[in-house]
Amino acid sequence: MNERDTALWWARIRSGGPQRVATGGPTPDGLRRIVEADAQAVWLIPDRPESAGPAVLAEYGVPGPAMLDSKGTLRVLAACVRCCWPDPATDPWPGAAATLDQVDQVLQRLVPGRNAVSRKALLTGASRRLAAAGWLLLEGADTVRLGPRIASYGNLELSTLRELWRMVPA
Amino acid sequence: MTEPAALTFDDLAAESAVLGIYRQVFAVLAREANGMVDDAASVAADEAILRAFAGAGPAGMSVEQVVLACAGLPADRVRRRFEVLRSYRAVTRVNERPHEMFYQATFAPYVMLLFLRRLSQTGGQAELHRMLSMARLALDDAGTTPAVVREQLAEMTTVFRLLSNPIMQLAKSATVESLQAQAQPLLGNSDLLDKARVFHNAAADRWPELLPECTQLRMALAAYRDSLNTAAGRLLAHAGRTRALGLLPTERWRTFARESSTADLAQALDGLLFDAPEPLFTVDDMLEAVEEGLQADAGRVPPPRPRTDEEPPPAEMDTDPQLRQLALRAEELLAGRAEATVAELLAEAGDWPAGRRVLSDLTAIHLRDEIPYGLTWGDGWQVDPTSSRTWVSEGWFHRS
Amino acid sequence: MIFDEVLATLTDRRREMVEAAYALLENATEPVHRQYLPALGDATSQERLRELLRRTGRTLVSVDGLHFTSGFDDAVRAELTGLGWQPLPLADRAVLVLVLVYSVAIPRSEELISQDSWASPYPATLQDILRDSKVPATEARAALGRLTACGLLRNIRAGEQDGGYVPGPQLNRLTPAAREQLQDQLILAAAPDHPLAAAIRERRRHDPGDTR
Repeated sequence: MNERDTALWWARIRSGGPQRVATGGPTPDGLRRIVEADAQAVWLIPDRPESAGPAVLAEYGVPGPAMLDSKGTLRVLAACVRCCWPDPATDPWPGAAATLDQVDQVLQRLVPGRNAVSRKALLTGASRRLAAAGWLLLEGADTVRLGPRIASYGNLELSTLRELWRMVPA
Repeated sequence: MTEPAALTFDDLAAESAVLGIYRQVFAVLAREANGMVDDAASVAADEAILRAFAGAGPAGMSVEQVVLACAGLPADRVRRRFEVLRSYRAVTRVNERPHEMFYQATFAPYVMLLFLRRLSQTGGQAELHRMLSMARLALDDAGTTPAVVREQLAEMTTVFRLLSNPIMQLAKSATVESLQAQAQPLLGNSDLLDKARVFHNAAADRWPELLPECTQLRMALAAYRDSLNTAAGRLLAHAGRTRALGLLPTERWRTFARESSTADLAQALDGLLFDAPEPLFTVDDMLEAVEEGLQADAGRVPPPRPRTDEEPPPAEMDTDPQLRQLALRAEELLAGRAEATVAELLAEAGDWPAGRRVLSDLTAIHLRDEIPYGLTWGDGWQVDPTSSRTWVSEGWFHRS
Repeated sequence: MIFDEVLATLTDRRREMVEAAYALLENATEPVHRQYLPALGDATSQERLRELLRRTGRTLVSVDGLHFTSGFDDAVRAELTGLGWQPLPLADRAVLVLVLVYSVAIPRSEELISQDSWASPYPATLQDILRDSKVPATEARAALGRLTACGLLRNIRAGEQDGGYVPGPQLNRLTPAAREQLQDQLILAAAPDHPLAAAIRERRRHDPGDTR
């Protein structure tokens, strides 16, 4: 694949999030292929060295894009990680599907003080936000999976993610 | 009539612009240079005087009565303007006899004032619109002769030439600032051109012998459009990358925003590309959020007690995690009791957010017939003004 | 691997500078002051930084000479959109246009803004967006949330009346050509019969190499 096509793929991802493509094609330079569970498709996500990635912003004290209700949204993601990652000894991707009800059960312990209605609102809003950013995949009205961005985590991050998995009550 | 639409800005500019129009219009009537009205106060005085005469009735007024009737204005100014009006015979004696004290006003000067005011408020172009409409209507009139239309075609040709010459001159050699001040307000004038073209076409259809005059008008219109486009192009070139937005009148933007369909609005972003949301957070941020949540949870609700000594839950609960959760929660709330009042449970929960959770859990548990718990409400209230819940309705939660 | 290829010959220190600059330009919400970007101060590093951006479909954007960010490479943008690529949903684009009109175009017509950028302190109100437009209100409301999430809009909560939406920090990522294209297309859409629109079409005709 030439430089021009590679640049186009990077721009597609930057403007449209992780891209799902057929398994056959070549991998554009600098992107990672994340194979779907059924091996019928792959996701392309950027593969930047950590020294050129978002972590640099924290070092420099420069703010990056924030999420609405970031604590609540991250708790929803944590609940999804707990529900959609059946065996933390393996990789979290592709994981398994879970129902939003199952996620809600786990979420309940992570967001004390919220009643069922406000928790439902958080779950709905946060899962949409996370899906828009490629951290979750919404399948149908009430089923969720981890999104391809979860596969961008390195070993160090995965060990933290496993710690988190153990900490969250199922 | 070259800069009429530049009038509508602030008051100061408006006043000098009004005078500008008057000066331009009277120029064709003046006997000599600098003999014209030169301040807005004089115009106001003229109007007050004419109004005073209108109210006075057929008997007319003496000079002193006029001064009295215009009490809001300085007396010497009223006298001075009265003299001017009299010298032009806008104000005449009621009876032509010596020592006649009473005067009356003619109506034509007042009509002229009205016309001028409209001209200065709406700009000469609005007037031009009216003239074009009337000329167009006249074409449908069986009594209209080719000579009349020839005359109108020539007049319009002259008007559009006068309009376009200075704009082109400005567009080519004026500073951008003066171009902005003088030509920008004229840019939104395609209506005028459309109207003139309609008049032209109708005239050419009805009287082919007027072709030469029509051609003249067509050329004048083309020159006017060229001058506007040239001015717009120069303004655009100096507007940078966002400032040209300000060259459109506010109303154009409002109409666009209000009247356009979703697709038409969105179309303005064709060819542009934006970043997808990519919120930045680390795994540690996620861990921290979870830890905080769990700590807060532990602080509010007693941790679930080991249930090894109790009978195993019914088998079907294993297939429905939510049901099992609810059963566990029910046992947790009852804490060994066969029955607890809602008031007790709320008191045990502590604060109101946790209490609300208890209530919503009780309701959820009650609604599931598969598990053996129920909620029964009584008729009484328990009022406790010192508590965060000032009232609690009487109710019992129990094994059923 | 793009990064290794482009940065291979640099010393470790320079490589770190360029990678950090890339990360900051690409990820910071707001444009970054050049003080944070030592890679810009050195010809070789700057050249590699630009190359890194170019290879990943991006380009360096100077906001005011002191602050920098990155945006889509104009040629890449033209090619992708030419292929019909537009991931931003229709309603989101319509609502963004509404905010640009109320927050930037109208204040400009009223001579309230003079700076040549898409920033504005004058919010488009919810009334403007949800009631006074033809975009269905539920769609518009959802679009406002999404547009805010990706930094295209910023929510301003002032007093009761003055709250609303202004263009967000992502608008700083538009290249000069994209900023101008956005201006031109707004004018063409709002007043296609206006002499300004004629002048814009004229300018495009005289600039055939231009991808707009």
